Amino acid sequence: MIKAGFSDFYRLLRNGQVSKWQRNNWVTLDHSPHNTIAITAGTQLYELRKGGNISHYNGITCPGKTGGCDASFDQCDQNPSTVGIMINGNLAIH
Amino acid sequence: MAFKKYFLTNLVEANLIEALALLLFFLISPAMAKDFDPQGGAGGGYFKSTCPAGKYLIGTNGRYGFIVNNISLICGAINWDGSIGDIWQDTAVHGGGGGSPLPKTSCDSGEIINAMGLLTGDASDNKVIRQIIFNCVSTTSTARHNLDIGTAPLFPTMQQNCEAGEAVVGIQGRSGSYLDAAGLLCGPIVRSPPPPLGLCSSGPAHPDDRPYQLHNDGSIWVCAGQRNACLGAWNMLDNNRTTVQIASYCELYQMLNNGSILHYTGQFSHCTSTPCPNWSQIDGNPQTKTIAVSAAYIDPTNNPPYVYQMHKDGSIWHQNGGGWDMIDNNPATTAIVGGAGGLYQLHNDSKVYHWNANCASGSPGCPWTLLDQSPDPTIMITAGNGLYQLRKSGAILHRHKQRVHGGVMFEFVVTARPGGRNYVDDQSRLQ
Repeated sequence: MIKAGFSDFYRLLRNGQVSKWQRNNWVTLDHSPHNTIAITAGTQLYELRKGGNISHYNGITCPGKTGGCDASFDQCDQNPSTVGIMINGNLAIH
Repeated sequence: MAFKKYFLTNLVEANLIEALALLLFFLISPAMAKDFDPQGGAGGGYFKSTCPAGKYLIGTNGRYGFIVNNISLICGAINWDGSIGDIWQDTAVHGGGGGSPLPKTSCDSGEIINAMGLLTGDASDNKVIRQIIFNCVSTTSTARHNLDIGTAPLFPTMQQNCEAGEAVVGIQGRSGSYLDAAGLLCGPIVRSPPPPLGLCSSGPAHPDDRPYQLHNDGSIWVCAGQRNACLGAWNMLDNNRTTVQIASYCELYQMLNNGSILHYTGQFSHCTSTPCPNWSQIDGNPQTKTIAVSAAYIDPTNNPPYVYQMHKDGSIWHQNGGGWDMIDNNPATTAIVGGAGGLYQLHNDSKVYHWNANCASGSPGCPWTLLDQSPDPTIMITAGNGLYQLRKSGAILHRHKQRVHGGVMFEFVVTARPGGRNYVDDQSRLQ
C-alpha cells in the first residue's frame, strides 16, 4: 500500500517492509519481522502490526544507520481489537 | 558526551542527600518550580531574564573567547505536536563585548533545555563563567544533545538540573564585563493545546493530523497524547457496532452500515455514556457506499464543509449547507479520495480525475479535470499534500508540477517501481 503524508510519502510492501521516498530513493524504515499490515501518515508515520500493535516512527537512527531497529519506533497501543488506523484519509471495516 | 558522563558521576553521591532534602521540601511546601542560585564568580551585577509565559529556553545568543563574554536568551513555545514555535529572542544582553559570536546558538529542532553544566575560568583575576553546556532534550523522544556556550578542554564542575516535568524558563546571574555567574530558573512543561478541528469551512484548512483507530466492535478511538505518547492515552469517541467507516481531513466523520453519515463535533474527550455524545447526523441514505473529506477549496462561493459521499451507483455528492449536491454521476467511479488539493476520483478504467470546484461552467475540464489515464491499471490513489497512484505493475506515480514555456504543467512521473529504476512514464498524460 502507499500513503501520502504531509509532506512525506511512504509505501508498505507485502513482506512488511516500510519505506519513505527521500531524495529519489526508498529509505527503509522498518523490516518485515515486525509483521506490519498497514501504515498511515500525516506529519508523522504510524504502523499497525499483527496483533494490534500500533507504533510511531520517531526518526531515531539505528546503529550503523540501518533501518528497522526497535529504537526507531515508539509503541502507541497494543489491542487485538484494532482493525485499522487512519490519519487524514478514510478507513473502512471490511 | 562529557556532560552526560559528568551527570552520571555526581548523581550517585547526590541522590541520597537530594532525596532527603526533596522529601522535607515537599512535606513543608506546595509544589513549585525550582530556581537555582547563580553559580560562578561574585563579581558583576545581578540580572534575571525570563522567557515570556509559555516559552522555554532553547538556546542563547552570545559571544565568547577564553571565557563567556555575554549571553541573551532564546526561547520558544512547545506546540501540541512537540515542535518548537513562536521563537522569542531577548534583547537584554548580560555581559560585556569582545569575543566572537557563538557558532551554534540553539538546540536542535524539537528540543528544549532542562539542565546545564558550568565551568569557571579567570578573567582579570576574577572568577567568571568559562563554559556552559546546556542539556537539550527532545520533546517527543528520549533523544538529547549538548549545546556548548564557550569552549574548554575540561568537564563542567557544577550542574543544575530542572526537576522531571520541568524545563528552563529563564536565567538569573551576575554580569559586568563578562558573564560572572548563572543559575537556571525552571518551570513546569506545558504544551500548547491541540488546534481545534479545521472546520472545513474556510481555506486552506489544515489537516486534522490526529491518529484514529477503528476496533472490530465498531468503536472509534483517537490518540489524546502527543505523537509518541499515545500509549495509554486513547480516548473512545464512539462505541457503535454499526460503524463501518471513518474519514477525516480537517473534520472527522463516520459512516454506519445503513449509510448514515455522522459528523464529530466534540473535543476528543473519552466517551463515558451511551450513546456517545457529540455526533451529528448529516445524512441517512442506504445508497451511500463510501465517504471522503478534503481540504477546503479556497472559494467562498463553494459552500463548505468539504465532505463527500459516493453512492453504490458511482454518483458523487458534496454536502452543501443542509443538503447534498450531486457533483458527478458516473457508474465507472470506483473510489473517491480527499487531500490538500481537494477531491479526486478513480474510474474502473484507471482514469484519475480532480474536482475543479471553482471552474466556470462549460469550460474545458469543468468540473472534473482528467489527470491521468494509463493502460497499466491504477489500483490505488492517495492524497496528502501530494497526489500519488499505485499501478498494478507496482509502479508508483507522483503528480509533479513543473514550469514549461513560461507556464505551469502537471504530469504524473514514476516515483519508483519494485525492482526497477526510476524513469519518466511514457504513458503519463499531461494536463
